[in-house]
Amino acid sequence: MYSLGGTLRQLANILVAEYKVRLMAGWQYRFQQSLGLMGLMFEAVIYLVVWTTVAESRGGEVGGFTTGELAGYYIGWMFVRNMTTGWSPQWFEYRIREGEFNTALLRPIHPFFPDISHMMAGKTTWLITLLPSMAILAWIFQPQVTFVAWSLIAMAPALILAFLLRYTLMYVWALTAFWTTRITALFELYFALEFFFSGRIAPLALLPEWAQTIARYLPFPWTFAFPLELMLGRLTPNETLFGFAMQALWLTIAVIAVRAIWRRAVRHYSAVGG
Amino acid sequence: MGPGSSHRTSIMKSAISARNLSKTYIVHERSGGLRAALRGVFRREKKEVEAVKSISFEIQPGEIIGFLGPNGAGKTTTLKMLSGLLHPTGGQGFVLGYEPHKREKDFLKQITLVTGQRNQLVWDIPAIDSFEVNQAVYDIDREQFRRTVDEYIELLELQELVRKPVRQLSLGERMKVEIAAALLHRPKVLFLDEPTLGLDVPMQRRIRRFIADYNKQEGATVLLTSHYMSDVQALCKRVIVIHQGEILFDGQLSHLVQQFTGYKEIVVEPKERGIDLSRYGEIMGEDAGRVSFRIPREEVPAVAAKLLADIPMFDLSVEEPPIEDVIERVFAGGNIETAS
Repeated sequence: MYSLGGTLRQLANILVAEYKVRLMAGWQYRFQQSLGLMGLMFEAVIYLVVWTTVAESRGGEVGGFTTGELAGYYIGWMFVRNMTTGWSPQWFEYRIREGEFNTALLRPIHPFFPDISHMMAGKTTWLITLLPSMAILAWIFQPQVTFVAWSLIAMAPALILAFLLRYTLMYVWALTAFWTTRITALFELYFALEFFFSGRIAPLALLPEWAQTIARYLPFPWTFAFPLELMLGRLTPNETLFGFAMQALWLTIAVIAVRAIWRRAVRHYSAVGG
Repeated sequence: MGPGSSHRTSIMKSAISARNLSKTYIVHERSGGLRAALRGVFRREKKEVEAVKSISFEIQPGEIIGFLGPNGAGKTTTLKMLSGLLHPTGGQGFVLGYEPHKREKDFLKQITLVTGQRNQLVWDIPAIDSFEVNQAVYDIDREQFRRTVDEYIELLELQELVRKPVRQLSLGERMKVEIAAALLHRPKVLFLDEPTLGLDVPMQRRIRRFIADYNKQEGATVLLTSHYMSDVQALCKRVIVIHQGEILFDGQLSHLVQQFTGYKEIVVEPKERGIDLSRYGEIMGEDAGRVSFRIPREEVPAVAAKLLADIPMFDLSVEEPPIEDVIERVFAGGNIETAS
């Protein structure tokens, strides 16, 4: 018989063991990972330069952001972006093709959990390069940030929930790799929506009013802009509570979706052969 | 409908039970060329392929079974169904009383599947570190885990190997380490798909000895596929031969030879070389003064007696044909009609 305490203890052991192993493995590729990080940095710097130019043309401010605040946003953006990456359908497809999934299916643990550790290990390796890069960018772009103690504290759980939410949503998409690779086009559409509504391309305050209203009820801002704006101390307590509620709601929906699709995906996989 | 009571009893007794187990794949196919590719976008041709056709067998706890068949016979599909990777399209499979495709935790903790493709180990780090993940995943008691790791390191001579990154190991070394990882939780049922494929002879022997010791020590049940008959001869008393998804033979290895070959080989070494021996039977070959005949089983005593009476000789021996030849003949279909 399994007790809840025993199950949680075992789950924690698995997450820690998997994390250590993936961290050791990832460390072998720290140079390649640093190169990957360059892409992330360039993306943030491009947005920063574009929006700073717009702000300067409008007298030093756009959508309530000064140029210094924009710098703070996009430097923090790099940190949040790193912490909220998730698996893509392409990665899952690779995993199935390589037969790696057979190993995962025959372990007495749902791959969803060890995969979290795998992701976290990747983020840790990236952070080693990312944090000094952020410091250099801060020196160049001189960000203006007013840290608020309660908001910074709230950012920690918000960031964890943002990661779990995005990870789970990406897992739903990744599971489609069991059926078809034709899903890629739909995934690209989803990705485009996320790009726009999450606060990645621009702070949500810079979007038109109607887009901001839509965004509030979509999962995207809660996977990205919410922890970022908490970090920058830009949210009120009420907005923060609403954010946590939306994270909880969307996470519940995403977990239900993973459970439902997982069963079908594995049934399909075991019907066609691994 | 659940299984009947006698079936249920045999399921509980058997380590592995297959009842009319079947697997039919639906494959999409199209002809080559751009036109066919474009047509395929709108209408895909489907074809049913029966990989396993209603096979039945029972394997008792502690048995080591050789599961033989040519490529594409349905061996791996059967192994995947019994380990829980594939859902059967017909019939039922039971392993330790569990239905494998449900992949219950308690079931998965008691089995293992080792294939050439399967890779439990993280490529870039030493295997000893990956073993730690298995300890956590299978919730192996710390002390028992340490003892098991030490024991396997000793038995499989892994001292150096477990401390090198897996990617630096040779194929054989990697397979030894993979097998160790796959057995850390001391499973009761082992599905081994070509565990010695591509390995040199000493490495094959070591793995064979390890499997035999594990079976003896743990009383584990082993279902093994191999293209190397030496694996089968060394480990398996009983074999199941599968061909085109159907079972051709299930029984003792020695009976396989009798059932599928109506012949034995008589090898003689006459004192006088160059004499014509063709009247005694079909000559298979001559080498260094030794002549081998292929003689129908029932005629062997008479022909041997006649040779001994007629020809002065240094030696005469009666041998079963090499098992490789028997299997080859079975798969080629040449002697299938002799099977009962």
